[in-house]
Amino acid sequence: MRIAKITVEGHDEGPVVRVAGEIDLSNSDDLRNDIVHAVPHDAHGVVLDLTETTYLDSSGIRLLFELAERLQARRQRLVLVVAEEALVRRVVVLTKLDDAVPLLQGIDEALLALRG
Amino acid sequence: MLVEIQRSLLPDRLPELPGLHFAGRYEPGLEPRRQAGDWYDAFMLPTGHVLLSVGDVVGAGTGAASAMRALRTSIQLYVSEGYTPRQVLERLNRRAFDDGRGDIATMFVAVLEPAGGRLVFASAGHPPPVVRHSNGDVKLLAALGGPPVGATPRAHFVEHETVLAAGAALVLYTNGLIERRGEDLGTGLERLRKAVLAGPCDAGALADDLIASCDTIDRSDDVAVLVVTSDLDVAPLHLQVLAHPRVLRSMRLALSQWLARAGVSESDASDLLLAVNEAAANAIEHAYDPGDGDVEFEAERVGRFVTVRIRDKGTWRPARPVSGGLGMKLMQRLVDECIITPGPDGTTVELRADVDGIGEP
Repeated sequence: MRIAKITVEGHDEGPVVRVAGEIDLSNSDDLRNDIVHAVPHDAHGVVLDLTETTYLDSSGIRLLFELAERLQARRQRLVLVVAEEALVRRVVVLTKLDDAVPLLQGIDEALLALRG
Repeated sequence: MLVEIQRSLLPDRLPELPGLHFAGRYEPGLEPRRQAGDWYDAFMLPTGHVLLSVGDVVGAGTGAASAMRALRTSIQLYVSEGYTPRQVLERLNRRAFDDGRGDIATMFVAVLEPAGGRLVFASAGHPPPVVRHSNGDVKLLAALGGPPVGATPRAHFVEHETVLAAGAALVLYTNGLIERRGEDLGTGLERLRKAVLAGPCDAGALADDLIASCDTIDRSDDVAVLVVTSDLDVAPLHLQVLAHPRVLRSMRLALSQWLARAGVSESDASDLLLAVNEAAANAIEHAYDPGDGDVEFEAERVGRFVTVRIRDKGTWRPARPVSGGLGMKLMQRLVDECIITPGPDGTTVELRADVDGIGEP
């Protein structure tokens, strides 16, 4: 049983990848690979929409750090969209991921941020 | 001097019963004339039940203080003799007119059965008690009552019944707690309701909070508060799962259901879930070869503390913690206490959180 579902939406700046469900040790590696493969080489980067992510732990944070690194090696950016009151936001802030990866509240804002 | 008399007339020691906690507070008013009529009482009855009462004698000075003492003692005697709360109010009302003193008092009288929490009560013109349930709901116990005792010879009093469930808090008080000059009573009641909602689990701490929430600048009337809390009675959780990443989600589901039954707020539960998951993920990643052992979970709530133990029979390898130390740091930030005990036969991680303050964000 898959505990998370990915949907990809193409935009000029880059794809918006939405992860609905839970991210934990059982699926974080697979998710990271799936997300990397969803980003075309000519995109500015990827917007990762975590507004429907109901669970995220340290393996998920590790996924996000590694993702940011891999994208940076290709000169691409990672931007996150996270809801204000969510558990995901709490974990991101507690682990200081938001020092390394921008956290935004809306898709449009996030796409703009991809352009730089 | 008046305040000393008043304080000495209030119970020195409240009952001590397993699973129940009582806390009473009295604060004199700032206007000397209006002191000394309020009381609270929690009294052990020969049947093993507990009499709870709170009241407010109209009037002031030593007259009110002695009237208050007489009423409190009479309530104890009548209930000890087997009269129900409604009958007690009727008797007190008749006596008020028979002895011609003209004392008028509002009061709330209840009998609580410790086993099961059945509460039988009757009110004589008194403001409604507040009940906070373990899930955070706060309601007024606003059932039909009668007029103040001594107000009219033809008074009719009504008796009601409810249950003080495990994990609940009952707050009895006098109107000094909710009244402020120039403000209607509804506003004061709403303020009290909010204070109970945000207040701590511990009876004494809640009583102190409520007294502190009165506006001391404007308070002319004295205030009595009696808080009764009932411990949450939830059986500990035991889980044993195969050490595989796929089990993490079902473990989280089981633990979150247990936390809800244990009356833990959503935000505290969320933090605990994250922390337990980190310990479990670490055991799964490092204790054994994949799928080659079990992880055991034990969760219990004692008062305001929830303790969760995660036990594996492999070896803890601090040199290679999950996520390069991230998981460990996250776990420690989410709970109040984290004790890791590695050993030759396995590792136990004990996480402890103070989940006091039902209803706080």
